[in-house]
Amino acid sequence: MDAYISLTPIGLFAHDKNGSQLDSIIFSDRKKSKDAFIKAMGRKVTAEEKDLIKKIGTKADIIFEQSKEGYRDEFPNISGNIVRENLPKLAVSVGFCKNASEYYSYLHELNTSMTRDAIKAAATEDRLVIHAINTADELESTANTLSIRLKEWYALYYPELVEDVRSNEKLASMIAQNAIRNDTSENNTQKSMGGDYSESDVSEMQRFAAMIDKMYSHRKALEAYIKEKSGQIMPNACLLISPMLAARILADAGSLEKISKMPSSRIQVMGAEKALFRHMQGQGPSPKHGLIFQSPLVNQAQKKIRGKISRILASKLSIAFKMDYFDKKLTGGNKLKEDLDKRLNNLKG
Amino acid sequence: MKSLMDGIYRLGKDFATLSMVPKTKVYDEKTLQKGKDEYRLWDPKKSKLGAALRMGLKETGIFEGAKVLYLGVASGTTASHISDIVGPSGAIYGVEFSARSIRDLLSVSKKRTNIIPVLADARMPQLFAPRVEKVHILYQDIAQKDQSEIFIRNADTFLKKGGVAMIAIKARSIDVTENPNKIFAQEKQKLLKKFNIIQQINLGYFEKDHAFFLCRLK
Repeated sequence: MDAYISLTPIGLFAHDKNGSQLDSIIFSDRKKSKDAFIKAMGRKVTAEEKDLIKKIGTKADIIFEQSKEGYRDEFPNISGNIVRENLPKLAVSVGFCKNASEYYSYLHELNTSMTRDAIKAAATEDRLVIHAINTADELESTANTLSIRLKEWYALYYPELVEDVRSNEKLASMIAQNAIRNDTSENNTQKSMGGDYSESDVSEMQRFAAMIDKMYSHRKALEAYIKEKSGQIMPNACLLISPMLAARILADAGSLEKISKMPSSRIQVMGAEKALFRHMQGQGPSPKHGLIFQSPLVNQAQKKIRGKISRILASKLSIAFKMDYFDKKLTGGNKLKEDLDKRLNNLKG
Repeated sequence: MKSLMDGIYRLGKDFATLSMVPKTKVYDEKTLQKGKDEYRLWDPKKSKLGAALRMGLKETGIFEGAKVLYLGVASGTTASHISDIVGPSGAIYGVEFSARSIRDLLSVSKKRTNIIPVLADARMPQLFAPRVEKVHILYQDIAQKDQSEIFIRNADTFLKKGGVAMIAIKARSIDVTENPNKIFAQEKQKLLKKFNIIQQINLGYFEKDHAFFLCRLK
């Protein structure tokens, strides 16, 4: 005889193939029912499920809805179809609760609690790296935008310095440290052509420069943090490419799990979506490289073999990301690096 | 206020629902006070069901006390209006796979207790089946390549006899290069095996390359 078992938030039910109920186990203790329910969602056969199987009798051939160790499963099975038809009514009739609204408030609480647990579990280490790298990139672009304003503003007072110092980062830090120009010379050609503003006006420029300077130094600190974190969560991939690039690829993919499931061809053209879709619509050549172009292995190679190199690199990277996700430690990364070097040497030689 | 379908009101060209939780906005929707009642205007740019109504959806099948399975509930924008319609005696099972989106939904479902949050993959109904029940309405809005297959599988498992099913199909998730109308025709063929299609709506400029299907289980 076949016995179909289904799980509901109020307990377990067993039906035969004609749909008549054989037996049931109700989670009577409201406090424990949540735990019993969550455990029963897993692959292991729980105490309640064993009780139910015992009650039905050992001769029965048990069929669950979810996959269970050592048992058959079929989804949806007849028992599930019957109990799901009207759960609140069923809950009242077996004495689990007094009325439908009590059932729904229990169900709401149960599901909210399970969802909260799942959200907690989803807060993983890779999320940290993704936010850090995105913050670093945004900080840099914002600081560069603000630097343009600073240049224009400070050039009113000291245009020669702005002309002289090309790097935004350096300029911000110089102004932040000392904003007052140094021209005591009487010779007009050596005197600054900037306006003679009061000290309070200049110190306002200085405060702005100090903030930009802080943004650049914050970015640097973040970079150190990202390098460390990337090395921890992606030790294998970080042997093949720089930790910053690994972090960028991770951020583009969304999570370590996602990237571990990606084919290498996808990793190869990540970040080149515009060219890829143009190509797919038949409007252009296929992109050879996306984000991985940032690796010196690709961008310092001869143009002719860049496509080949990025393909080889992407193939090794996809393996490395799989190792990172599933092994969570440095495993075959060194071997991959050797293979990669060998193949690159063959290509050049 | 003129009721158009169950729980849906018309204000000029806008649609609205009677708020179940007055003075609490879910997204930055506009509200309108009429005596004791507060109506929440349905923003067609933020909700595909709202857009479908604006583009001439005849009915939704949603009624007070209905049980709804909502796949791809995200942060609960559309679900909040459905929640208004089904009221405290109804239930919406909000299935969402993204932890980030469902975090926003939790703050909505805290006040609207008829929304039951379920963090699960809609592709695998066997994994969330113990947490839900059979429903009168199936609503799906997920941007996946196999969205029609997911829809059919869930309708098979959870939709009651004669139940109404709605799906918003995003052509760009199925094939970015193909002509959307071709994709809609092809998805329609898939749906016709399982459903009678009552109405097909192009969401027009509210949602680009989206079609909305109102179906009834055969």
